[in-house]
Amino acid sequence: MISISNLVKRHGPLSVLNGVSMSVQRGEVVAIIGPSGGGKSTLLRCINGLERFQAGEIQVADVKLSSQPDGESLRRLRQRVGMVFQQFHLFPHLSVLQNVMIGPRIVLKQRTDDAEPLAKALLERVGLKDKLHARPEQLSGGQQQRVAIARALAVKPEAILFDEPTSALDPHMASEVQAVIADLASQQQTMLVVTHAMSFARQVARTVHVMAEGVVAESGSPEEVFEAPKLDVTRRFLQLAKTA
Amino acid sequence: MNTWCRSLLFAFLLSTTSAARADTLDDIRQRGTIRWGGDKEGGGPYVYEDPNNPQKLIGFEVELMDRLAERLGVKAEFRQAQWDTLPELLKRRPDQIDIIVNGYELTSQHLQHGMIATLPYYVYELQLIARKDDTALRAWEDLGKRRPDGSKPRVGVLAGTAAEKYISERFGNAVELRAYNGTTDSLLEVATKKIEATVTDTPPAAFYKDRHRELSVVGAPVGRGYYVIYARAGDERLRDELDRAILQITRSGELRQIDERYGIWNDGQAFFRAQESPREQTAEADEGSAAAPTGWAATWKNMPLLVKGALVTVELTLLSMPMAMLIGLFVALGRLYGPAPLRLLLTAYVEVLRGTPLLLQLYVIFFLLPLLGVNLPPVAAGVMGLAINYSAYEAEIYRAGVLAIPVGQMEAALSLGFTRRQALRHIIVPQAFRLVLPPVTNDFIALFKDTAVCSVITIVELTKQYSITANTTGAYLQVAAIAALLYLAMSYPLALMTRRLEKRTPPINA
Repeated sequence: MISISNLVKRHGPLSVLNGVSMSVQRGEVVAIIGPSGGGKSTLLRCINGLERFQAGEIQVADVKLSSQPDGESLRRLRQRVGMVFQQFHLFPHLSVLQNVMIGPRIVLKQRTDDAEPLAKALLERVGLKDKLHARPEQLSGGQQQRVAIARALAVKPEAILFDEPTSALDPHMASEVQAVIADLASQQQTMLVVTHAMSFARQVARTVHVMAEGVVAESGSPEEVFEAPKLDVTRRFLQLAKTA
Repeated sequence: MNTWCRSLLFAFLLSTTSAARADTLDDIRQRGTIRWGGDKEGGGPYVYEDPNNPQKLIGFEVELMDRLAERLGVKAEFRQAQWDTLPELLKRRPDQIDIIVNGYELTSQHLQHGMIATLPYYVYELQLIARKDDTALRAWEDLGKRRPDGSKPRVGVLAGTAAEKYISERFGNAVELRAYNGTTDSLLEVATKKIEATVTDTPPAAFYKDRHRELSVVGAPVGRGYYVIYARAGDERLRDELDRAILQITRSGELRQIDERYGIWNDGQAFFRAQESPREQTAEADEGSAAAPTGWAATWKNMPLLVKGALVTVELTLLSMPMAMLIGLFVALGRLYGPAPLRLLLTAYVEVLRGTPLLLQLYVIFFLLPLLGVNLPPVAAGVMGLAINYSAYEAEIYRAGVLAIPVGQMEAALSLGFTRRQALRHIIVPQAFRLVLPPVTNDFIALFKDTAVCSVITIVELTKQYSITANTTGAYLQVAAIAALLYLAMSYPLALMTRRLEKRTPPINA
């Protein structure tokens, strides 16, 4: 579904990604954990074409992305992968329902009549069917993030990238959002989740990658990575995460 | 009631201040200079900058004033002012000028409105000037006929002069009258075929005949009149001193020498200067009605003209602002997202238009584009100038508005599969719109008032009409009050409308 090979990304002299390779199978949930500054978010942004990279290749379904992407392949790529941001980035000038409908209307060229039932169903699925006409600013952070998930789902992406979806939320709101993601996982939605919530990663992911200093340091099933980490980096990180 | 009391009080204060300053002659002697007001824009042969030494002013009125000042034992000092505002300047700002010397004609209107006149220093007549090759315009009567293409002849005059009055009284609706701020402007317009003819006083006709060899005088001169010096009412002592000096330089032949130097001496001058006291003779020359209304009566009478001026102001605003906003939007988006050469070009566009005065831009569009074969009618040129000028400001406002939208908004839209253009149209611009509403409203009102600048390209909008009406009626305060009220009545609803629009669009806390 998603395959990344030898991705290299530099900001001037600073090396952010040093040859990252990983793949995500259809229907698989993959979690990426690791210390801040390890390149996790940058990797997601590259997969979505929001950041350029210097070397390597990304393939999502039938779309290949090189270091010199053209506008058309970027757009086709983005139609195949949705993104949920740490800061939600809902459109403040639109209602909750319009936020979810605008993607299908503009990108899939659906008529309002067709887009509306789908948007309503998605909002019901994330538990917000009574907030259809609210403005984003009137919602709590957890509610906004659930709208953002519905918005990403509305354009029917093949995979969804989550960039620390619960980091800006308090524990209660975070668990609301995690419940929604777990529900998607049970429906075989392909997802790549960058997170600092270890127990959530353990619960929802089939594969866990530990990223540090721009490389994938260790990979494995949640049991392998959390119970029997092979590397010092992983051990230190998990120790710190526990005490934090 | 209260306002009437206040305007009465104001009038009283004005009269006392002028009474207190009544003795301008003493002030002049004490100061050692006599300050005379004129407009260099009117050009030769009156007062103009020496082409060989632009620092120096020359002209027959400059030399006249040097001689007269000499007789008064003082020095002459020229003060620049826009020609049609000179009477107001004389009356309202005694601290600026003592007298007006600038081809001002002896009229009963001026005498009724707080000014007194000296003896004439020149007798002029009106001359019709057209292109030599214009076979459809060979006599004054031709102005009453349609052009070969069926249109009315377009005739240029200096605004507020006897020529303007003469043409509108004699030919009325048969011609399309255009009022200019300078004689040279209308001559150039005839030469560039934007108008068919101009009517000027004899001095500029004689003076400029060499500069425009493609033009020639048509028919015999008409409408004799007298150039006089105007002083403030109450300054009779100054007037008498000036009269004495004028008679002295007339008799000594100095005045004739000056006229001859500027090529404007003719037999008419000899005739009236032979008279011992031409004041009686000149008084009957002006047959203006003595019972012309003044004050509020005159203001009400001119109300239709003022409203018409206001409508022109509205027309200019409503046509130019949407254009400015549209051009500005594209310039802003081009500067933000366009390729590098386009960005550079648009940056230059913005800087040039912001960095040069609107007045100059209007001049270029109206007076210089014809040299490239582009002849825009006045209103079109005005709308174009305003739209282009303001588009630069709008572009900067929109650019700031778009930059104020968080980057995450664009990224969220792109991640849904929007193209950049779709993201701008549906996500960024609608949010920026709300942000820029207050500054754009501000510019809307500013543009609305800037339409006044269009008077330099012969458009008579509200401010110009104020100037004309105030000068012909002398009801400066009343006409100014009405003009101000008309402006306010137009701009305030606009402010209310945008406030409502702002309330309807929800705020953004992204």
